[in-house]
Amino acid sequence: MKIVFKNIDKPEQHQIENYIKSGGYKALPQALKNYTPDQVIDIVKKSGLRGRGGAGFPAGVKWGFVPKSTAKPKYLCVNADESEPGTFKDREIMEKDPHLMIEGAIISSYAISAHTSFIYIRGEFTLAARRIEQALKEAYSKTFLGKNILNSGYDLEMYLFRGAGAYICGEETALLDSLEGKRGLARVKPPFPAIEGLYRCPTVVNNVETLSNVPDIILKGGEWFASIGTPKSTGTKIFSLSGHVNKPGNYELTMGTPLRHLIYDLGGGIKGGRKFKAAFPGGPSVPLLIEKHLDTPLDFESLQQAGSMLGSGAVIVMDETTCMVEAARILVWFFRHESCGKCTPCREGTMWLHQVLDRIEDGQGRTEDIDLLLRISDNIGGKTICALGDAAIVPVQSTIQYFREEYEYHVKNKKCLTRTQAPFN
Amino acid sequence: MQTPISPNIHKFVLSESSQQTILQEKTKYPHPRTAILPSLHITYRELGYLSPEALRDVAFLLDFSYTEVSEVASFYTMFPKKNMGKYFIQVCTNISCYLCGANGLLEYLQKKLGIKAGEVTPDGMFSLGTVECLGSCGTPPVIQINNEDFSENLTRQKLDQIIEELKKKK
Amino acid sequence: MINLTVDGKSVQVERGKTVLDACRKLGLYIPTFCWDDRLESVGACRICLVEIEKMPKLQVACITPAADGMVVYTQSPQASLGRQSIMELMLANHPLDCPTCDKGGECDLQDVAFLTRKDASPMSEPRRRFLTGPDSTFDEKQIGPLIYLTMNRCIVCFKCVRFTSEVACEGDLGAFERGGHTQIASGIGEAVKNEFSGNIIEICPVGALTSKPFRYQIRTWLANKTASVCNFCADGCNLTLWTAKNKIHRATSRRNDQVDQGWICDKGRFGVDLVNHPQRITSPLLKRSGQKIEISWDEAYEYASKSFKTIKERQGGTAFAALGSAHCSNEDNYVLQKFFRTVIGTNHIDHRVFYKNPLPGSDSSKFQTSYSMTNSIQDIEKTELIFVLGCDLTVEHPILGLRVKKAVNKLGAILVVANNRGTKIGKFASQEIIYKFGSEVSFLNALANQLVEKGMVRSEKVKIQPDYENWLKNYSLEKTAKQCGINALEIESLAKLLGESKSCLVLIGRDVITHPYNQDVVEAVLNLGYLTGLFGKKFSGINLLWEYCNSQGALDMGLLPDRLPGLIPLSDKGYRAKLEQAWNAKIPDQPGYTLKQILEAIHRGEVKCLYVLQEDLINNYPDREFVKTALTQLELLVVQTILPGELTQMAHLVLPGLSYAEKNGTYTSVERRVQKTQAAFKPLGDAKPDWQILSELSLWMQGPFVHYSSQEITDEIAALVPGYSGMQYDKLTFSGDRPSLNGQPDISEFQLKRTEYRPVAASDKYPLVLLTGNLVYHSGTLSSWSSNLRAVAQEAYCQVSLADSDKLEIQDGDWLEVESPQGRLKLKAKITDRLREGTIFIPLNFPETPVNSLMDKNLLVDLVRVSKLVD
Repeated sequence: MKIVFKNIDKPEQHQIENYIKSGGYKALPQALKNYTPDQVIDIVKKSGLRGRGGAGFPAGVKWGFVPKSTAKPKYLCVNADESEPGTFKDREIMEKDPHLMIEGAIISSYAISAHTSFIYIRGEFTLAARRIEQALKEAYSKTFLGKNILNSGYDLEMYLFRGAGAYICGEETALLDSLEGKRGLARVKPPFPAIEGLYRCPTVVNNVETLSNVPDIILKGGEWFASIGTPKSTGTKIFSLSGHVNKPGNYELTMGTPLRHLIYDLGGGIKGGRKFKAAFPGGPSVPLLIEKHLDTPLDFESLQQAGSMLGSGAVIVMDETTCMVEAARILVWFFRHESCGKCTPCREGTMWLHQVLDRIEDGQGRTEDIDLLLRISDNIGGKTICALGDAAIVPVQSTIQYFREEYEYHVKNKKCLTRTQAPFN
Repeated sequence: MQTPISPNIHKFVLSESSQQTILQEKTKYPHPRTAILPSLHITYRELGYLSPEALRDVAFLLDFSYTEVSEVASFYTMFPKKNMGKYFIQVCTNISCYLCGANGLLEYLQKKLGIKAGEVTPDGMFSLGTVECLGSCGTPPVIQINNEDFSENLTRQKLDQIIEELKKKK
Repeated sequence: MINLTVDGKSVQVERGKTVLDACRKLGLYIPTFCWDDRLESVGACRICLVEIEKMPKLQVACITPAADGMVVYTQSPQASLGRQSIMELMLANHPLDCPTCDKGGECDLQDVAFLTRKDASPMSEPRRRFLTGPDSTFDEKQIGPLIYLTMNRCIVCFKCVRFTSEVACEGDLGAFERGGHTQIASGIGEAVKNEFSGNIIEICPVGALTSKPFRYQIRTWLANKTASVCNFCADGCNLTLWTAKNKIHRATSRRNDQVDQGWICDKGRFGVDLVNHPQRITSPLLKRSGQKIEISWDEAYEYASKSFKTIKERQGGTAFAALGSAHCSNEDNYVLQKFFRTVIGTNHIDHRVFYKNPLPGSDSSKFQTSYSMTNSIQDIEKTELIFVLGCDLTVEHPILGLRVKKAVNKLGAILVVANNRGTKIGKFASQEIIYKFGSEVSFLNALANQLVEKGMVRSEKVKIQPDYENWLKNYSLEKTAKQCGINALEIESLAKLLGESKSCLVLIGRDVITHPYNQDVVEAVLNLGYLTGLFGKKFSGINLLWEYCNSQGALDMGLLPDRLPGLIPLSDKGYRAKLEQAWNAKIPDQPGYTLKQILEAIHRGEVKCLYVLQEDLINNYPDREFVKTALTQLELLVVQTILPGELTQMAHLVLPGLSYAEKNGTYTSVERRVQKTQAAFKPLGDAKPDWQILSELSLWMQGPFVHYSSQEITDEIAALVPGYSGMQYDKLTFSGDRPSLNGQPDISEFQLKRTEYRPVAASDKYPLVLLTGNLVYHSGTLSSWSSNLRAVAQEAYCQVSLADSDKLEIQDGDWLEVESPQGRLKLKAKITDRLREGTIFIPLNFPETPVNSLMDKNLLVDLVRVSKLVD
């Protein structure tokens, strides 16, 4: 079942003529002519579409929070700041089928009565940025954007805005601060962006993949989308498979597909026929799954039951040669590097965690360090402004939970229990 | 604001064309402050890094203080703040690339160019840096040169080829 | 209203308030670092964690909105553990500098650590250090002329950066990098230079930002604290002076929400060191054979009283003149004019040393139309339209400037700024008008014409005589736009705003006060006020802003040749009789001379004795040459002051008065708020309170009065001076009181005046108009004695317009010679696009480059020529 990736492998799909040929820009006129903004919101609510960026919040419900009677302008922001390690699904959509995202964004802007929208794309995605710029030009030329879209009386300006190397700007409030021309610091919620967002006006921030589902939902109906997947995780999800697998890449799967199928059937199994050790099912912000979890269905609820989360759907597979302490160190360094620095626990805590992990990995660990890591994680968890703080402690807590013996081995023997440096040939 | 501006008021390092583009950005968005980040992109494209003088130009054109512009610039790690030579090579060392040989790639590059991450070769041609996940985890390991399109699925051979071609480009 | 429960107690708060507001209303203490009620909450430090029922995570009280039925626990085990976690992380990298950190004793981190019993962290990694290695913690950087930043101590609460951008609306402090490497700094090569930088020292919860002058002076708990009021500009900010052993170590804000909201400018904060300058005059000095020798008070009084008697017997009381001070207290000034009116018998009394043609005092019984501030400072935040005319507001009245910035940025007010040069406040305006020098009357008449022509005069009570209306037609748009050198649209749009705004506050400043036809300008503004119906309307009014800390008080105490205390005209027989009875002496009924006339009279030999109270006549009078030659002709020059200078050198007798920090007294601020100061320590050396010197002189002259305390004088003022009734020193609160204004003005008697525009022309030989003004760090001679302030404002300069710099081929930084018929000065050029062609600007008050040496008291406008110095 392919929704977002339906046309992804068609040659030159990013050009508007091909997009239209493959059925594109049919949902937009339907939405503008047949539905009021509120009706569009209802359809999306019925579809059960949940955010595909990591939070999993129902999109239609989020749109419904935007106040109807306000003099302030409203904004839609497309979150294309894909920076969660292991995630590269939005990149493929933007490079190969940008009009799908654009059409989805236009319909969503219409649903919340926004007349200005931004696509916030991470600065490193240069090819995608060029493709989107070109696609926007094409869309304007065919009156899919601009004043009086398709003679419907609805105006929408859409701007491409390039980020410049900050993972935190994928967090919706930090994204808004960055769009406002400031340092990308996360904001406390409440007030929520739907009430006070960009320039203190009502704003909705949605992920690329989320919006790319909207055209088909409009064309085929909310019930159709809800009939796919599981009752609480409707539709499909693109999983970015990476790590020690033979066939890494993006795979669009119906919600509820088991993890084993993704890794072994589609992903070609572990490299070199080695043994599976652990995997992050949704990027390193969510807890690990180990071998006993291989049959877990990939959907919001099942993963939660298994002690993890769906997150961004980045499945990072680690085999038996991986040192989990080193993996934790690399990931904690990532969070330390990307912390915005606004709130005390994340700013001080990620630095401290990394310093301790460094020592353990370099053979200078002490027995009390393992409990110290857990203590620092407890100090941070639940007390930060945004989810980065909660994410930063996950690699630590999760690796200690399942692989404590590796930590103890490090401390006692001053070296890794298992590590083979991945070759570069 | 009309260009050219008297050197008694401000001396520019940015070209006239970049100045014009930045002034266009200033009126494009609902609030002029939003133009700061796009202006940094424009500056980077012309100069290859964000020098204090270039940031002063941006501040002057957008009517903010130099401190306000440079504090924003300092937050974002994509732009080097000093000259990183002709080709700034950034190696992804995050988890998925690490699992697929990024450390080996970095060591190989360091040996080949004779510099460590953060340094520039004596002839000013190459510099190295490590960078976080580039979103290329399906095609690891990966480098990004001068913040342009990625070079993915790297092998020693491919890397040698790339370096050779860059050396020839001059 | 919202009802919630905190720690078992019910509390009610308005919608929109936070849980922290509810806790504070109950008097509960919740630790905070990054929260300040004057700044927008950011929830960054996370220390104010509380437990709220039905919410799984601990919540941050300062930003969680209070909701109906909420049940909050601030001291639960969960909440306490949460705070300890945060403290543990905050102390992870914080250095143990307490033994040598200036903040000790007033440090929030110390207090909260004590409260949470969390004094250390199990952190044993190398601590983060910004400049030096892990062994040293004392690495500091000077980020401004008077401020040190010790980044290692910073807990990144962002209050300094938030204050700088939200309140001061400046951009010279920022947060650089991100994550654990976040560093507070200015851009490379920049420094923190805005005039409110000192406030970041006060709001910093730790010792990361410390004051350079205060470094190692004294531990905070060993100093004495005295409530006082700032002695520089007229805003009247409330201070606390920290003293020990007769020395002022520092000044901090003594928050008064009606005046300063807890902010003080750097001049007031750092300028306090002048009080303890080593060259303070602390004993009477007599000139003998060209030398100054120290004498006793008895000798001084004997000399003075003998000399007074000799001159009086020979020529009468009108051979004497006295200058009071806009820096001295009401008590000092009141006694000065009483002494000279009753004991000496002269009305040659003035205090306006800065002005060539000072505005006359006006009748205080018609407050709303008098030349004064008629609104309160808080009205600025409530009005719809703010019109700043001829005022460099952020320099002359920094605190009013803050209020205007807040009104514009946060409260939706519209700001229009009009002046003959670009000013900093103009950058906040939706409309900044820079008109030709001297064209104000044309500009204002044009506005009046627009209002009448377009039927925007709103009140039925306004009576416009037909001949006024006809006369006004002369000020048509095109004609006046040309006269003012501006666009007709600018006049039109401002007139529209004036006509349509529900409330409008007009602020008039120094550039109007020193205007060659200043009275005409004020009359034209009053006309506008009448036509727009501003008088008496809520949050509206015309406000002439006097400059110095007691300028208003000096006027009110009758330091004028033709006015008695309360600004009652000398000709008012009834009041004069009342005073004569209360003073038990006669008051001469002939009006006296203004300062200019006094100086001319000295030249003629008519005035033989001049008594100067704490004003630097030579450096401040706009004709240096004339003043100096006049003073040499005096038979007796008595100077009562605190610091030396050319004036005390020329004086025959020098009497040591006191600074504001050493005496009790009252001062009347720009908004007519009477505030009291207290002596922070005993007078230095043999110096005496100024009122006491005059009182003792009265005794020596067998005068009709003597005073034993300043309270006594305050009480007498309250009894006798209109507008000050009820102002008793003991009853005066420490936040001051504003004397009541006489209700609604009676505008039925207002007459629209036909003030004609009179242009001022430059000459061929001297083609440039010299504009002058103060700097925010340097507004008079007093500030030049503060080494702290001199560290910031180091030298004068000459601002040249871009157009003139092209004509004269001057580059930024060139040395120039500025020449007038009176004199010449050498100054460095600063090219700016904020000046009109044909004008230059030089800041006053730098003793090395006395601008008043270029001025001529007889000329309405000072004209100069500028040439580049080549060598």
